Amino acid sequence: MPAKEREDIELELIEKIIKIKGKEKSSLIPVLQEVQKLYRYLPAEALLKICELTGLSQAEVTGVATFYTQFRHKPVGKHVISVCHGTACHVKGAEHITDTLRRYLGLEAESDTDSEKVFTVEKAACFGCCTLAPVVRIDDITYGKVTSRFVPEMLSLFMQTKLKKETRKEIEPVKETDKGKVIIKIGLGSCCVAGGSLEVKNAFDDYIKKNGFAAATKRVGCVGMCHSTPFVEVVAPDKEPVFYVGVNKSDVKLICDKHLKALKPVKKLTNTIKRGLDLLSFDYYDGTLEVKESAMKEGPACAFLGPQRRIALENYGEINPLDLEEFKAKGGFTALTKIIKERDGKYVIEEIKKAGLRGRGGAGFPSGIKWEAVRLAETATGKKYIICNGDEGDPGAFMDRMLLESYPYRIIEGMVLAAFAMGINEGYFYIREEYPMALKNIKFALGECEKAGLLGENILGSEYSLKLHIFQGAGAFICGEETALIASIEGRRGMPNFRPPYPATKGLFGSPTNINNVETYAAVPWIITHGAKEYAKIGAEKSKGTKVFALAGKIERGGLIEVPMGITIREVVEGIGGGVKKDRKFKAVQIGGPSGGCVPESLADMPVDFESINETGAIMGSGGLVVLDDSDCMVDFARFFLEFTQDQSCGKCTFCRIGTKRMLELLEKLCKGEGTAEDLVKLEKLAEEVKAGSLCGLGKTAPNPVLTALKYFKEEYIAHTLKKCPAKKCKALIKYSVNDKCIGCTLCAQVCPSDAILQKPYEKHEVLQEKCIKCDSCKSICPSEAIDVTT
Amino acid sequence: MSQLKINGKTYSFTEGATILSLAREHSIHIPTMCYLKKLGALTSCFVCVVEVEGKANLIPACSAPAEAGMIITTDSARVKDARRTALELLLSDHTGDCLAPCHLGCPALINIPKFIQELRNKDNRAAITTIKENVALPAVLGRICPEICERVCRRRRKDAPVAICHLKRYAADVDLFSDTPYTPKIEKSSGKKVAIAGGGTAGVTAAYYLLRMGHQPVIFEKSDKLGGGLRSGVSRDRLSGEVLDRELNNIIKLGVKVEFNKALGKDFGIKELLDKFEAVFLATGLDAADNAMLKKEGLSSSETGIIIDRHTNETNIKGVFAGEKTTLAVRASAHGHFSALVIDKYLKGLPLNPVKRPFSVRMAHFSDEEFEIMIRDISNEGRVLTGIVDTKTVKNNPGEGRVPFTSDDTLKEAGRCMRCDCRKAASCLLKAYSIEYGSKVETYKGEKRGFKKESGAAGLVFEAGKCIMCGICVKICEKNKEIKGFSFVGRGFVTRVELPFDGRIDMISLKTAEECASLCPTGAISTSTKDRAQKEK
Repeated sequence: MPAKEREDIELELIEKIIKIKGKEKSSLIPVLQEVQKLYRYLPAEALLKICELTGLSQAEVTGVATFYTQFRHKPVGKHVISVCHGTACHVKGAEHITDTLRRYLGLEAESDTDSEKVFTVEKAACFGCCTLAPVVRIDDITYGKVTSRFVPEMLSLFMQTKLKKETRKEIEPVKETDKGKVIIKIGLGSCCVAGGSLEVKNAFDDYIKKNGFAAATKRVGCVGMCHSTPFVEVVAPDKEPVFYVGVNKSDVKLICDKHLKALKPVKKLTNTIKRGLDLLSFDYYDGTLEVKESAMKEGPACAFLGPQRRIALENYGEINPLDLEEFKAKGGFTALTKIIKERDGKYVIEEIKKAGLRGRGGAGFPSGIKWEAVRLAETATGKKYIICNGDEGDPGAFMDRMLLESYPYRIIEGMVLAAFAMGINEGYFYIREEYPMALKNIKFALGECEKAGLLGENILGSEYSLKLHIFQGAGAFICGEETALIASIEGRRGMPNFRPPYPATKGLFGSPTNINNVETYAAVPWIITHGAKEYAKIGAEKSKGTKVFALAGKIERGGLIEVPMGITIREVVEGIGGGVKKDRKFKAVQIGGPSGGCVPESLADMPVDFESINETGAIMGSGGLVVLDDSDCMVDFARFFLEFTQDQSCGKCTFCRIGTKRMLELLEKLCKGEGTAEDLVKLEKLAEEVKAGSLCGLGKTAPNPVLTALKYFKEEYIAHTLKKCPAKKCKALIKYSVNDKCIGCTLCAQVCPSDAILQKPYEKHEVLQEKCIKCDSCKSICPSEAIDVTT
Repeated sequence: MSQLKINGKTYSFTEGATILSLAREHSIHIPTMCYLKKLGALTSCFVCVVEVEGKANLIPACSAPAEAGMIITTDSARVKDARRTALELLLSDHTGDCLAPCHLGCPALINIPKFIQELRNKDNRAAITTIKENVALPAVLGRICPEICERVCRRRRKDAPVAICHLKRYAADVDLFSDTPYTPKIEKSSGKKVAIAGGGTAGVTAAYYLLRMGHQPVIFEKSDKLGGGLRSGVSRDRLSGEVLDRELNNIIKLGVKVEFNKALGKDFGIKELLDKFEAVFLATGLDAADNAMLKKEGLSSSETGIIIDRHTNETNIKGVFAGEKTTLAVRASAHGHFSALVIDKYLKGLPLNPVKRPFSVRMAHFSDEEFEIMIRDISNEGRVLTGIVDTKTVKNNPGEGRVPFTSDDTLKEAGRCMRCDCRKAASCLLKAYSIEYGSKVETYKGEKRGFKKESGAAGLVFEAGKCIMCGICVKICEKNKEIKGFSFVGRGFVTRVELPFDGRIDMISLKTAEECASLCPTGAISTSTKDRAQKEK
């Protein structure tokens, strides 16, 4: 905690913030968030002022301010570049991107801000844009599929955008009063926006306005085909809808002209996406508009969508996420109306029990049993709370973000049903701050519901009332753990408590509390509408219904998918996802993020359900599926997860705080080729002990990535003790060299950031080993496969 | 009343009991560092884990409510392993020294910082008592010891090491020439007799400690005087006959019996000794030439002497012990003392597992910045030692040729000691449990906290490097409504307990700070006066 370093802090503003947000401890995090907005970091003076004004102790304020990643304690550059280091981004080279950025900006080893104080480079936890990996966010603009080569251009593009003061249009809900018009639907989920869909929508709007077409654009939620954003659907009255994938601004004119001018079908529309930047590249939708157009009807999209079963994601790509009327028109809130008017809470719980719904947050606890416990729990405070856990911190998972962004009303309806069933009158959405659109959409939807009498006092004219608040997380993976989440809402460090007592008996502010994951609530309206029996027909024996997965990694078609439980991993990876790239081998799938593990290809015919996955040593988790191919190193991958968990550990218990760090250090040693056979034994023993001896789920599951890797990929660990990395990933164990295919084109030498290539035009080049930093730039640009990597 | 089982026995409990409270009620030992009844469970240290049947993971006893039908095991191998690992993990992130480098560097393991502090307190009796816990002949050693301790004295990095050996000599001389020299407390007689072959440093030292422990030592000396190498191998210029005789006589007066002119292999054999004595200690300083004689006596030996088990000093004959061969008096003294400890265990029928090297976390390396912190509050006095040779450490202690310290010199020189040892070395729970569970300091190596030390009023010291993150002080400050109290700072491995905003320990009320110091399970927070009341019962 730095001592005073600034004298120019305008402290009156802090007074105002506290007046609005409140002095009590539970307001502390919101207060800190507002104060950081003022200074872009938290100056020590400001923190001391907060102590003085709120009466909170310095320990309380410091403890919280230093716990959450969101809070910074030193000044930052004018713009903050956050490089996502989620799982998908990691396997797609986020490390290279960070290195390149730091080199390009000339950052000193210990500094994260350039000397001119323009850019600060940060590593970020997952943004949940995994299908666009690697992802970089500069202030509020997200860039997907970034390559090292694109870095300079990305920064200049960003500066141009800023210079032009081209403020992007606010994403407003669009009321559809345009009957008879051609409707152009555009997905505006975070991924789509990162993929450029907002620009495409603006271009459509401009072009339609300029030409006076009888048409209107309409934002819709996520379709889940994140691999092919931006995604456009043209719906003309009385005609079959036409779909376009991978649309960019320059396609807008052609599409409009085709559909709105009734011209002949366009001949050939070259996909210009690959123009240099690779920003919006698509692996398989290159080519003509015709190809793009047919995509939905046959081929990959069918394979992608065919095996899916949409319950949480019902009406995907059809409705405007923020349009309450449209949601209602599609059957939204009928379940709630039915229950409030005709049934009681007990009925809801019975149905949920009969449906066999299990919590989608990871552990799979039967929801009905938990709800009943909360319903029956005695409350000393006279209160009970409901919480929607949207603190999706797993790197490599983005299910909850998509659901919150695209289906806010469905989740609210599910929550109201649950709260009604348990007799709860107050609750919270806990949503992580890395998800700005989710926060915005839920806030808007809550307002709409209150106006419509679906929330607030006397819901639908009944005696029943429910107030829902939003709590913005401040960046801490551990807050996905329920007792830590509660601590966080109460304004404390997110440090878990031993259970029992469970939140169902003693939770938020000491009252019985029900916490479920976003997806769990999203399934509730469907169950009530269609009946428990229908729901129970879907899925596996002990794992009913569907599960939403975020499919990403080394796969042809990543995206958000919803599949019936019991589907096999192979069906998901090879069927829906289209498998790995042609010249690569499907190696494993990482399930459950840092708490889960790697299930090897040899077990890919295993059904996806809670029990089967647990047997492998992985866990279902919240639903991140990251596919790995033969170029992914299992030692490096375990190291990646441990690096995450040791940083995210709340620091409370010995095994997690120190144990995960020591495991990480052993893995780092292995990656450097310095590990020994004894280190492997030590690593395995320590992993088992951390698993058995940690306080909460984070520590108990943190060893899973290591234990599963040691179980299924032991030979790779042994290879590292012999200084070999079979996947050729660990920098210390590989060597770049030029082979005889070299045509002497000098491209590699031009991109090499460390002058490590000795070149003469038209002669075979050479890699200078002492200078090579193993950044892979040469290999990725070489047109003749002349760069070899050996271990 | 419900019932559960702990280690196979059934116990009844009432609502609200935890596994730990119930175990304590029935005197079942479960270690814990972070639990205090008055603060409630903090569930952080995890050395209190137990096994509960049906649970895959281990359970922290301090927080887990006792539940009817539980089947609990508190002492299985798995539980002990986990506790050992938890302690080893904490040790791997624990920066400081339990025992000072000089203490560990001394072959005889004299608690040097302690006796120096006692000299500083002008309590010569206390100082000599401390010294005599480890050496029987301090006045002798104060003249001829090669001062190994001074080579590792941390003060060397600032100017010159503390003149430890000369301080010891001062304490010993004052005692030796006083009217009432120190006499140790002698345990109740065990009625057991131990034969000691050889009346040199090792033999006399062993005799001294065996006597203190209540046994009857009898020394068999081949010449007509005690002292061995101290007489034959050291010039009288370094060690005067008066000092040697006086110090040896004081020991004989305590009740050690000596038979002069008796040599092993000539005047008596091991077999005869074993007939009359319960144990035998061989301290004859024999060399290669005696190999044949030793073999004849039935001992395994080689050119370098009698072959012994290096952990227990046992020879191949049951009940016969021997030290390692050495020409250094301080090492001979150490062998004699250690052998006496082993023989005592042997006579009592206890397992022979004395610890040759005491447990200690050690701060091997530290940066210049860390050293600056260490010397921040120390005296700037230069080394006081004067004499006929140079004032720095010397390879050969000149002994009598060195001008003795005056009491003023002693105070000045003793004041130079940096007190590198931990103030809580006697009560630290991390240390106590690490010894109990056999945790090793070096099992896990890696990044660890740096050395920090901050002193406040009333002798309060905060050493963040020794914090184990139990959370007790944070909780006390919260309970006492301290505005500027201890706080958790940061997250992950680098989470720390700190005083926010570069705060100082003086910003907490003295009462709270002293409460924290007295309840801190390690040496992270301490006062010069108070110490944690050992293991809350």
